[in-house]
Amino acid sequence: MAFVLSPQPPIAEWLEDFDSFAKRSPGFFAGRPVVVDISHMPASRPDLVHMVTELRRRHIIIMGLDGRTPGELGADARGLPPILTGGKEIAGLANLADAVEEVKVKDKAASAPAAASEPAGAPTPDAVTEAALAAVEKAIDEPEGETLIIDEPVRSGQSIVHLNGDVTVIGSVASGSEVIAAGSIHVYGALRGRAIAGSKGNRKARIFAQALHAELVAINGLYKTAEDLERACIGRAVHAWLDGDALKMAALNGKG
Amino acid sequence: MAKVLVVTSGKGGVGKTTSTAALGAALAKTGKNVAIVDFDVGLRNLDLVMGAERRVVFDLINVINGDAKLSQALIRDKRVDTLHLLPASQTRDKDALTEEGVETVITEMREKFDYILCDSPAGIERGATMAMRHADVAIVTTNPEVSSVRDSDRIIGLLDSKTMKAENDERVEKFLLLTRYDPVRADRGEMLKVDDVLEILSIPLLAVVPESQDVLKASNLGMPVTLGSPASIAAKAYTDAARRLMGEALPVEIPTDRRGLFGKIFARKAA
Repeated sequence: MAFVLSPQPPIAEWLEDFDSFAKRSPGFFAGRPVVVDISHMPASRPDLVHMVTELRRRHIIIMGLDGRTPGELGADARGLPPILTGGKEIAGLANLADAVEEVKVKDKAASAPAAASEPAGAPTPDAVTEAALAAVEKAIDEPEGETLIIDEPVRSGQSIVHLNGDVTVIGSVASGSEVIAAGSIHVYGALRGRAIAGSKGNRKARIFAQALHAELVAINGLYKTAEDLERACIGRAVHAWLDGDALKMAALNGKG
Repeated sequence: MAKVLVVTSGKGGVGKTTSTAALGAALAKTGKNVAIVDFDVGLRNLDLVMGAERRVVFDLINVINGDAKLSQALIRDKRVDTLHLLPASQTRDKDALTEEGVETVITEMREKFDYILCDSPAGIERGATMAMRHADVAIVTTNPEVSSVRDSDRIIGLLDSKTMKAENDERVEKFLLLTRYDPVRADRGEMLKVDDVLEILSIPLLAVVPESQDVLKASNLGMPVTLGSPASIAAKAYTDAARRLMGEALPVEIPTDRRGLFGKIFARKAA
C-alpha cells in the first residue's frame, strides 16, 4: 500500500499546499512509500526532475511514478523513479490512519526497492540536476541530529520540541508540560508531564525517567496515559520501549 | 541600587495582595524606601488591604497616560512613612498597561525607592506579564495544593522567558512564598507538605506563612498583618521574609502542629 500524490501545475503553488499540510502533520510521510501521479504534469524532463527533487528534499520516499506510460516519457525518464503500471486505487483516504502500522509495499512496487536511496544509474546525467539529487540523497542519509540538552526544569506550559534527535532533561518535567523528540527522551528528574518519543516515526526510540509520574508517555504514536501506567513503575526510575505494538515499561533498578 | 520585586502566582486567591502589603510594610519598617504597585488594573484591591481606599486620587494608568505625575499618584502610608502605594485604576482594563508606559514608570520609581513591589494580577495575560516585565526578583506565592503549585510552575516558566532579564540572558531571582499553610492538614496528608512543593518547583524557599485568622482580620481592617498584629506567627514569617530579601541569612521556620502530643491524642479521640 502506498500513498499517491498528484502534483498539479503550477507546481510551486502545489508544493506550498503540500508544505502547509506537512507542517501540520510532521512525520506523516516519514518512512511511507509514496507514488507520484504525474498525469497532470507536463511530460517535460526539467519539470519532472524539479518536482522529484523538491519532494525528495522534503524527505518523501518516492517509490515510483504513475499516470504516464514509459513510452510517453522515453529518454526523459532517465534518473527518475521507475514508472509503475497496473496500480490499483484503494478506497479513499479514510484508511490512512489505519495504515500507520502496516505500510507495506505490494508486488507491483517490488521492482523499485528504495528508489530514494538509489538515484538510478543515469546514462547521460544532466550535471546540475544530478548534483542536486545527490545533495538531497546525502541529506536523507545523514544520521539524526544532535541531542538537545535542557539543563533546567521544564515548567508547566512549556513545550520542548526537538524533531531531530534525542532530548535530555537535567531536572524535572512538570505537570502540564511536554517534551517531544524524534529520538529518545531522557529525564534526570521526575517526569510529571508528557513525554512523546519517536514523534516522527521511530520504533527504536525509548523514554527514560528517574521518577515516573507522567501524564502521558508515547513512543512512535503508541501511548499510555497516567491511568494505564503500570502501578509498579509509578514513582520509580523507569525505562519505556516498544515491543511490537505494545508500549512496555520496567523499573530500572531492582524491585521495590 | 533599587530592586524591583514582583509578587506573582498564576492562580488567584493564594494571597498575592495580602503578601505584597505585608512584605512592603515589613521592608518599610526597617527604614527602607518602599513602594507597592497594584498591577491588577480593573480589579484593584491593594488600596483596600492597605487601608488607603479613601485617599486614591490618581492611579498607575493616569501616570502611564501622562495625566498625572508619579508624585501625585503615590499615596504615603500614615503608619510607616517610608511606605508608598501606587494604586491601580478600577475603571480601566489591562490593555491600558502599555509596555513603554510601564517601563517609564518603573524607571522613575527606581530612582526614588529602595524596593518596588509589584502586585501581579492572577492569570498569565497582559496584567501579569507587565507586572513581572521589569522584575529583578520574583516572589512566587503558592498555596500547598496541586493546582496552585502547577500554576506557579507555569509562572516560573514565564519568568524565565518573558521578562526583561530573561531577554537579556540574565535570570530573575525567584523565591517561593508558601502561604495558607496548615501544618495539621499537611500532617494528615490533606495538603502538600513544604518539601513536596519545594521538590516540584525547585526554587529557594523565602518563607512559610501559616493559615491564620490574623492575616484575614488584618486584610479586612486595611491593616497589613505586619502592622496590625506584629506579634503573630504570620507577621513573624513575613518580617523574616523581608529580612531575607534584604540579604540576611536566616533559617526558614516551618510551622508545626503546636498542640503537641496531648493535643494530637485528644484530636483523634474527638474525631
